[in-house]
Amino acid sequence: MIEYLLFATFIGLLFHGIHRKVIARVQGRPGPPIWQEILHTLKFSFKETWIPKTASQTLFVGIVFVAIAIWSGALFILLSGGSILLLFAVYLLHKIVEHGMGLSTGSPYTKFGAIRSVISAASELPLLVTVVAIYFFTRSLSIADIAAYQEVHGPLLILAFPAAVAMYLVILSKMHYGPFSIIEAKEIVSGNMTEHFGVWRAALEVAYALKTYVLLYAFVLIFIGSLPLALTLLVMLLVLVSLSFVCAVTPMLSPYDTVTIQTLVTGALVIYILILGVVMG
Amino acid sequence: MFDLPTANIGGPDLFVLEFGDIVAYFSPYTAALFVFALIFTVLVIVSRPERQVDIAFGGDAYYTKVVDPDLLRFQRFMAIACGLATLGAVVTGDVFNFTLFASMVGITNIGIVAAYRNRHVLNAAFQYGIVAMLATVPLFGGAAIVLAGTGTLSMWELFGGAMAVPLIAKAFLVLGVMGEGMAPFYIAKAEITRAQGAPFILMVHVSSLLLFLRVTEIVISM
Amino acid sequence: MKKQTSLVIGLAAGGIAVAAGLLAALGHLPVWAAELVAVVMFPAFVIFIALWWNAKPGEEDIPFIGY
Repeated sequence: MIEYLLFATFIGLLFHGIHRKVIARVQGRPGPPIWQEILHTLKFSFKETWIPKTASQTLFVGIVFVAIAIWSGALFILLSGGSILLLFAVYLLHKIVEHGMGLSTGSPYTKFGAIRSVISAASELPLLVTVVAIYFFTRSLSIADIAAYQEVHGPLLILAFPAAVAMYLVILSKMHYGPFSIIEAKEIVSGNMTEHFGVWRAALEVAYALKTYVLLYAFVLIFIGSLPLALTLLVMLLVLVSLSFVCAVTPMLSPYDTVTIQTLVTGALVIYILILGVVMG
Repeated sequence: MFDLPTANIGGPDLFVLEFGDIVAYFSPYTAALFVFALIFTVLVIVSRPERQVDIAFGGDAYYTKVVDPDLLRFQRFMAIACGLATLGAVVTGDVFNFTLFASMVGITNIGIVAAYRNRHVLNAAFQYGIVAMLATVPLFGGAAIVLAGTGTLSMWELFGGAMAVPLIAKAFLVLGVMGEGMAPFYIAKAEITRAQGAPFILMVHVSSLLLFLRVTEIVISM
Repeated sequence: MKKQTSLVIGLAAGGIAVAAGLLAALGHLPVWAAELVAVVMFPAFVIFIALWWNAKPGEEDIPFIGY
């Protein structure tokens, strides 16, 4: 079991490195080597580690455990063909992790990150309407059933294209250096991660690597179907590179603009679902 | 009697706990939500609040706020109450009990920050309270329409597929839970987050997110 | 916490997760239970092993709480 987690962590970190490399190349910079994020994680794990004296110690440490645990759980939900509603739950819990990380330290920068994370809660709504739109087609929320449906009817990427766009936006809003990553904007140092350094930061990098892997894998499973592992990884890489292009050419939005865009997308999808409801009965 | 339909999206029920006619049940989905709520409730019980660092504007000076023991006790009590209400809401098998727990979450959320003496926080809590109170109208209205339309509030009956639950009842339930703190109505919560006591403030968010996850399951299943 | 304690906890967590995986592969444990064990043990494994290898060889506590 643990070998899946180690594999996903490794690939996720590699994806983060590729993400940075693609952004750099699009912007005309040489960029770091693609294994940079793996080195980064190891570097953090060797740095001196302590708990800030102002922090709520239990929460400060506990939230790091929760961060890794929820995304490990999400990976197993995907692998065992579980419910995408549970995946949605993990996504919402990630929001709690962001709040908890920011609030637990007492630092004003992390607190700003946490407050921005409250504001960016609008990013959950596109995911919810994606779930509902998929339910309209498949009449089931289990990933195994969705994959079976796609074997018969073709990929949902074509059948339910607007839902795929919404899910793409959801993944985009969780990417580093993206237009929606306001919680880790540089004007608030590192946002909610500012005070988690050393081992805590290394562990968070592991959690984020798992998160990137899980979200990309979920996109492939839900909208394209179950493919052989090598092909899945290739498609995930393609999705990632397209996301990197978006991140490279868009500036970071202001916090309220992110809410506006995500809410507009949600609104558009609600209309799409209403039309689906009328057409498909 | 308590067999959920096998195509239920929360999965088959694993364990049913009867208190007279009030029945709680665990399916893989509700059990997962229960565990999530339990983890954060335990964190509330065992952790102490952080000491907020404030920067004096216009200089290099900063100061750390002290933790007031009375405030700490009250916040912890309210946060645990909120956790218990959330635990109840995610495992209940009755639509009315769910709405009851949801409104209790709204009340305890205000309670968590109500004792914190800061004008911005109290203003935000007041606004949040108004929205949450307004939201209880569609919330209980939704449950009432379910009862009027189908004659039952039991989820085993409603999830069976034989009952046609009016769409408006589902919409009201979702709207009511969103009013307790989900995306378009959550904006007062950004200011609430200023209050001290990270583990307790966190419970405000945990409870509304878990309620939303549960109502999604209920509405899709009905 | 001492350096030795951290290593013991980290290795124990890793060991339990691997053992659960093996038991599931041999059919002595349901797969979901092994997954649950892995989910609980993996964070402990990552964090305690990292705490062990970044700790100084001296007697001081890790993670250092102070200043």
